[in-house]
Amino acid sequence: MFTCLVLTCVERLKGERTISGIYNLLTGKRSSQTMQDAKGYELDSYFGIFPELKREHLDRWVTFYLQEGLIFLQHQDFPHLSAKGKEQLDAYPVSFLAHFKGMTWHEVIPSFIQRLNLLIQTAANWKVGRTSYVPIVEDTLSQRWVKTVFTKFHSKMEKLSDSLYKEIDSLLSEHIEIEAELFSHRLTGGGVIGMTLDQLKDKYELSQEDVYISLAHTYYFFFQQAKEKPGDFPVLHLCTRGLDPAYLITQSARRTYHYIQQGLSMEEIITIRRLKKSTIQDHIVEAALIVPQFNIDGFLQRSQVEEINQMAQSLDTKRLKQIHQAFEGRYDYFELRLALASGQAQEKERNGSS
Amino acid sequence: MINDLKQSLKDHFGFSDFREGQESIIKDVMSGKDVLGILPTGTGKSLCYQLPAILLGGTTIVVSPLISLMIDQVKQLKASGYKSVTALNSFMEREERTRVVKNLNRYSLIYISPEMLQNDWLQNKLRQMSVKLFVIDEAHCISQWGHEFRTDYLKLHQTIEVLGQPTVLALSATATPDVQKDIMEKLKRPDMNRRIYPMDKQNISLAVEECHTPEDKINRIINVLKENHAPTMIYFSSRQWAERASIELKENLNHEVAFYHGGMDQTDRMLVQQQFMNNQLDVICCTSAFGMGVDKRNIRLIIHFHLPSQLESFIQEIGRAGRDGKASASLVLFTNRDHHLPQMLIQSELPEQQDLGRIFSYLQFKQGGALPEDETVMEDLQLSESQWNFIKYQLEESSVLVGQELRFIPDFLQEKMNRLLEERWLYKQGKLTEMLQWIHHTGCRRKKLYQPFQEMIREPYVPCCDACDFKVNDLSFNEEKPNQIDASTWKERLQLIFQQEDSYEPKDSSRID
Repeated sequence: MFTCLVLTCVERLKGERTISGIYNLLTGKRSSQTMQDAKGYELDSYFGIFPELKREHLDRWVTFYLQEGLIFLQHQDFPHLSAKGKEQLDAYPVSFLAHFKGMTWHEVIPSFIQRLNLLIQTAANWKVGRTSYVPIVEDTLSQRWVKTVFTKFHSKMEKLSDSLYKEIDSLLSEHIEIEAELFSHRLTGGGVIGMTLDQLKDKYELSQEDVYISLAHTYYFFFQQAKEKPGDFPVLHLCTRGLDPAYLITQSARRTYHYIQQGLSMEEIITIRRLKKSTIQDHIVEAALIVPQFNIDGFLQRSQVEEINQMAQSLDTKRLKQIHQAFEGRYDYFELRLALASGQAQEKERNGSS
Repeated sequence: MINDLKQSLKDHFGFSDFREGQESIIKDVMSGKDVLGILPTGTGKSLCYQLPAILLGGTTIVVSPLISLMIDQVKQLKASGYKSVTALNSFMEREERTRVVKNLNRYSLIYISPEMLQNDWLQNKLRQMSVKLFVIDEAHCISQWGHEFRTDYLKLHQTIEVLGQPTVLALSATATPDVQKDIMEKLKRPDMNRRIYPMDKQNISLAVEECHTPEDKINRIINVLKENHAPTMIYFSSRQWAERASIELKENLNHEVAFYHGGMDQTDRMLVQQQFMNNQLDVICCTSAFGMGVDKRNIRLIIHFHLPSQLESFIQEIGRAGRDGKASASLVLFTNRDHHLPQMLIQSELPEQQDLGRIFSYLQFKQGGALPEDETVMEDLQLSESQWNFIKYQLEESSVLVGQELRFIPDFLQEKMNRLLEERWLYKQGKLTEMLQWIHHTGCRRKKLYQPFQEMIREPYVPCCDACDFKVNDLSFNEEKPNQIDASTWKERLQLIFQQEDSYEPKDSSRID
């Protein structure tokens, strides 16, 4: 599963990004470069889905893929997919990574996991009459959330517990078998304490990364099903309430965005915010990427945006350096990034609404 | 009053009897007497203030240096239905901390870390409340001769004064008579009622064995555990070894084994701890990060794969065995090179003398201005937290560092610190030597171990030690098998979680200590 994920990244990045690029993507690094890559190479589903990934573990996997001949490196650090790698990648069922939607949900998934795990423990223990136990989730926000639910539904806890069981049962029934196994063995409640990643890894003879990604995949699946079908999954839906998509724009970028909306120029914003020009430029690119209705006319004309995007397409690359050279320096890097970001956002919008 | 107390104990904690020492300490405290209580681990020290906190009304403050212990206790108290309790420490998220501080007078029991307590606005807030009881947990930390000297503790007597002289209860599990005297002096309370209880465990047999290599140690553990199926803790001083040993034990034994250390993610740490409590595991390979605040009553065997750096830690660690009073054992394994590890540990705690020059030129460069944040200084100077704390405290003591302001550094200060360091270093080395001497002691290990702490060593009611009449190979603990969970498919597992009867957790494992 983890291998499928990494090979997918390598394939889509077309040898234009390094291992660090993949690492930053999976761990959800908040840099405009990483976010732009995620969109540009259509890897935004995987953005931030593995925040706990350790760099040395990824490197170990990469070494393994190199030994196995699944990938090869060019220019030292740029991985390409080999024919053998391609073959292996195509052999994975599509369902393996189908439910990830990292760019939209990665920020709220941890809260969902904590709420769900604690609610399961609470509901299951309530059902068997256990009132004294140590909560398996230590996060105080989630504890308060569960407490609120518990107070509100106190008289209906039995129903809630039964419904939660049925909802999970029905979702797992249509889910990948091994992931259903991992998920249910991770849960705590009713006198059973869940298994650690290490124990799951041993029991199912998987790698730690596989276990992590499989669990995450199941949580993403649950989360979206619950969001979309409140009628079918009322209790799970409850766990998603108030957890909204992240407009992946940093606080700081948001303030810059507001100034631009108010009609301030880049120079004015630099003075007001006392930030470097390059930082403000990052914010603008970030906003263009995330906010589809963001009007960039103040920086580039429509025709220029199109010209740049066409060039990128004809060169079949997202590498700024190549595009920059092709235009013989007519546009600076900021303009190129902005045009590409804006083009991607609009493309996304079109695909999304069709 | 005795009956009243017992009734309250039953009402609030569900126990029908006090354990040794609890009742007299509680009575003292309730009648406003300051108490120094020395109670061995696992005898319910915390009840000595938890019950008075309810009965006295007002607020009880507990100063504790061990944040994880603090959090564990709050968790357990809440789980048992005691809701008006909270903990304040620097690891809390700011929002959470603000929320707690805003509602501070809602809590009857507040755990605070010593460094938080030095905070002016917090002290102001506390001053406006009615603090009835001031508890100092791990009170040996106040003494330079205690095994875990904490500079923050030296300021506690001022805090007590600021709070209007509430009743003081100082508690420790390991304090030699010297340390006891020092605690009372440093708190400026020479007339404390001393309630000292013996710490020798009459139900624990002791043994030490030499091995040639670490691999030999693992083989020895495998041999011992083949004959013993019971809750076991194995202590390591390195994470790698804890993991490695757990893998080998799993391969060679029919036991449920897991490792536990501070490098694991929080969820997994929680799960392992709860599995052990819930008897889903029988062997845990851990570092000293495990077990504080975990009160599992039926641990039968404590094995030390690595040596602790002092006898006090060792006594505390073996004190986790046999809290149910039944026969238990401690086994220490060592090789002739094992003193290196604790030595390295000491090195990471204290700055090296040869580093002082470097540290002082850094400070001199900054004098007359503001000192950067602690993290920055530690990073700049490549010091560990406890190394920097040592320096920082000395700077504050000699009024060179006031708040963040670094004043002129007098010439003699470096020399003074040098001397202090030498003293501390010698002291810690001495502690380690004591540990090593105990390892190589040929007479009765029980007497040698507990003699510094108490006048009379009681007769054990199990075999005593390997110098007297105890043989590890005679041990055969056979507790019931760990909770076998009958669920092979995900469907069965899910059913079990949501619908099974409550048959998996023995009642006594949830007892609050």
